[in-house]
Amino acid sequence: MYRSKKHRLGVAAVGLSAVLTLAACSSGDSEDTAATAEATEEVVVEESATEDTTQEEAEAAEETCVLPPGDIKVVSIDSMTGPAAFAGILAEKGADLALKEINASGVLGDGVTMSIELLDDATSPDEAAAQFSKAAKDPDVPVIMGGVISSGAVVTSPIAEKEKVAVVYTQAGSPGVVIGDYTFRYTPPMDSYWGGVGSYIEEKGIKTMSVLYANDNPTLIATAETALPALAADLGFEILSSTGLPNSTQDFKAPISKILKEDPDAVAVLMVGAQNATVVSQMRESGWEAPKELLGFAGIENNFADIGEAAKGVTWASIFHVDSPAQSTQAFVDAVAAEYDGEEASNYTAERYDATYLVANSILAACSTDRQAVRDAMADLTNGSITGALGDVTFENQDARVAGFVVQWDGEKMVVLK
Amino acid sequence: MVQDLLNATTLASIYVLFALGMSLVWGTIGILNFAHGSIFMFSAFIAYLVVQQIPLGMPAVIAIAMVSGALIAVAMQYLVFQPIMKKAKNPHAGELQLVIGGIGLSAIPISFAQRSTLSNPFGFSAGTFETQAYTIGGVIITNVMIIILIVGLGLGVGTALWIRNSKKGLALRALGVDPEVSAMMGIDRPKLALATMLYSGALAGLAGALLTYYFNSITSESGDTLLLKAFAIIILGGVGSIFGVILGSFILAFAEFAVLLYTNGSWVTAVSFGLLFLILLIRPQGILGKKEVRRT
Amino acid sequence: METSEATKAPTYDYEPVAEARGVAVHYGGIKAVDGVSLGLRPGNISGILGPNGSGKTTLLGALTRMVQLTRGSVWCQGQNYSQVKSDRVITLGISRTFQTVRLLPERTVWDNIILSTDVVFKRQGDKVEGLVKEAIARTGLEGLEKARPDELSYGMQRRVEIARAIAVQPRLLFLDEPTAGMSRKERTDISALMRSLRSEGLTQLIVEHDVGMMVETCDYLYAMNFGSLIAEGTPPVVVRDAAVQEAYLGKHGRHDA
Ligand SMILES: Nc1ncnc2c1ncn2[C@@H]1O[C@H](COP(=O)(O)OP(=O)(O)OP(=O)(O)O)[C@@H](O)[C@H]1O
Ligand SMILES: [Mg+2]
Repeated sequence: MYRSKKHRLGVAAVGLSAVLTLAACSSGDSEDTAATAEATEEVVVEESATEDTTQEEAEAAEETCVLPPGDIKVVSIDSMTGPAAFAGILAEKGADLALKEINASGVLGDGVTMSIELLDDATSPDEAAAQFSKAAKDPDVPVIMGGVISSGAVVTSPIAEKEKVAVVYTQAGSPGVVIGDYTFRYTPPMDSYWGGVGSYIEEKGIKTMSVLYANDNPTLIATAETALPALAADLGFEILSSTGLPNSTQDFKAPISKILKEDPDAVAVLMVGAQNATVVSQMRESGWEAPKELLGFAGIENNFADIGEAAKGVTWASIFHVDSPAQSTQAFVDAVAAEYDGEEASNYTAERYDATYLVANSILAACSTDRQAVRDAMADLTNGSITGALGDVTFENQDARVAGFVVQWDGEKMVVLK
Repeated sequence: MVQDLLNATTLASIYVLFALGMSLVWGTIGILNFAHGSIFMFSAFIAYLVVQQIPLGMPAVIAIAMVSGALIAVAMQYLVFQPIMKKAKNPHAGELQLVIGGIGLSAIPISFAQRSTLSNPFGFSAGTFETQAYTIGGVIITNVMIIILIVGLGLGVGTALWIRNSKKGLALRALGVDPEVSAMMGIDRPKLALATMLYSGALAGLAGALLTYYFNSITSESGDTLLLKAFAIIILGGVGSIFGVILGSFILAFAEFAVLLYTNGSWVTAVSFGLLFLILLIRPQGILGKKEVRRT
Repeated sequence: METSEATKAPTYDYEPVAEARGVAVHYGGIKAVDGVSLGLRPGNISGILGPNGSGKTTLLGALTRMVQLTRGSVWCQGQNYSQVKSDRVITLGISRTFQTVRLLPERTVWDNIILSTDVVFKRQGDKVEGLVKEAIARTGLEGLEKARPDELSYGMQRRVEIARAIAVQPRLLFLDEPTAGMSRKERTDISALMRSLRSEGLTQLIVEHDVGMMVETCDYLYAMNFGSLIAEGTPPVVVRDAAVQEAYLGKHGRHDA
């Protein structure tokens, strides 16, 4: 059962892009959905072509593109060790799954496969830069998949632009990553969707807010210093204070004491790792309970395992949720569960899965492994909307955008707020 | 205000717990152990692994962390630090190698824990201990805070007095001041070094467990963060002075607290390390430190 | 360390308390000590004379295992202790003072003295305290037990070092310039103390620049220059030795070979 689903989804994306390239799809919502359905159909056809070939269908496939047989090697630089390994390891699961589906479908053509040479940057920008330079200087590498850490990406992006090789990042959410024609990002920057909690803020009648954020994390800085003030101006609530703390902060009683004196309606907690768990539990110990609100951000759920109940009620916007109603997301969730022993799919896996499809589709659309052709095809593809594990994704200057969900920690896991 | 003072004092006690063992080892057997932070983290991590299997209470968790810390520290001493010291031509050449050795060593447990937790925070929530908060006259104090205050300040003052008043403490102090002369006095450096590392490792384990309870969870990198602060604390108070550790901890904790209470936070690192530079400028040996002893 | 030709056992017409056999200590090109053999006479006060940098302190270091031997061996009661760790030397009955005072500046006189006594006599509380009190009395430090070295005059600090060295009841005592920086009166006191210790059978080896005092106090003298012994014998013989006179009065040569 899952098998057919998986295949349908996996190849769905590939098929979709083929349609997109041919038809230069328009952007209307209903048409998108139609395109998806159409693509799905076409893919099923393509797949059967490999299994029990019928003349007509085989010809149809050939017409699209014939790549020279062989293995297309794409380089992926990711954090498999070091502090960001949690994201890197999950991301690579997405890449592996996508790759397996793409190669099994035979969509790249007879005797054509794609593989990923995975290089570990060990969560070090220096290491990322060194490996990226090497890959970028190798003309046989058609396209690169970039690492998850912003500090690495801001260094590798200029290299990509200089060497004219397309790079697709996931995560790496800071400014300075998507900087030109050759840089793409499949994870929407947090400040682009954090505003999704706006409806929640209005619903709860939040009029005042205090912010705690990690002042050495570009993504969280952008969210605290740009997205939140913009949202405040938009919705008419007031930010009473915004406290930036370094990653060396382990005890939060002092800033909490300050915030308690300000007595806001809500506190936004934008810290890193264990800091989030400590802030939330120390807030609770100081008596911070409903109707006072705690707002978080995507990924914060990974920090809540050890405080469980204390984090109940923390609310944030997320780009991905396993309970998303989108059919493409559900198919992906099932595929992950099937491939990885019932594992629950994560946003990191979803992003990289979709990004890997984007890479394959770009090669297919370009019908070439020439760097410039691949990058142009990728630019074309990201002009439209792409449906995949993340649901419907659009791009703004090659940078992904999604509507997102409002989610809440229920004491054990995050749930989508209706 | 009282609440802030109490919270700052708790933070100071945490710093004491962490920095105490590090200072002791540095000030007596001359090892600036940059692996202290990873001993701290890994002891808590081992306790965490055990608690995941068997739901234990606080005393058992602390005991596991302390034993783990002591064993790791002793193993490091035996396998790495002692051989380095033996090979070093002179104590000063050895010092640098010890620091580098420590940094190298610390990477092992950290990457192990990172891999195993995927760098996510870990804690003792699977255990049976529950944090309780009490409100006394409007001031909130938790049972964990009470334990940290008693254990941190008790061990800090106790260790300082022990060094000052016991024969073993005297021998340790002599080792710290002049290892060559200590040898002439018949002081068995390797044996005392092992005992000191054992104590320091157990303290790191204790700190690891109590901090994890206090902050609810820590990460593989938490030890490194504290390591830098402890370094500052020891320099502030004066290398070799245990009362200096207590004083340095209070200064750093209260300075951090004040900065965070009255500013928007961005200055907290600058202020604590500015303080350190100030001390280094006006009193290089630290507040309670003794001038470098002249040697031939 | 291999035993070379130069270090095969010499014969003495007495049983040496400690012996250096062909001892050499080199620091890179500097031959601080270069082939010294001597056997200390039991119950004697022996002295080493020599100009600055002639290797006296280094020789004491070799005999107390504070410096590594480049060649040769050191012996005590028929035992080669060239490989013994320096912290075991005190258990051989060997104790010493240092050319510059090396005390714990911020601990009391009492603490400074009791440290090694307590280690040697394995914490036999009463005995240890008795020995410390006796050493304090003999060095004229009564009433200063609670003082800290950094509050004392240099001469007094030297006494603390001597007290620390004798409290462990050694069989062999090395004193490196024990009276440097002392007044005439203090020197006389120290000299008297040394003779009194000799009367109890304690063998001593002293390094001093004060030739007058050495002649007065010592039973036997060695003279060093450029890391080697240039003369030995009774004090009158050694001070009249031509090579010794040359070393002390003549130009100081270079000793980096
Ligand atoms: N650790 C060392 N490294 C290098 N050279 C050394 C060392 N110790 C001593 N020396 C050199 O060895 C030589 C002998 O030094 P030593 O201190 O033994 O002489 P000394 O006879 O005691 O002189 P003084 O009368 O000045 O005390 C000197 O040239 C000295 O500089
Ligand atoms: Mg000398």
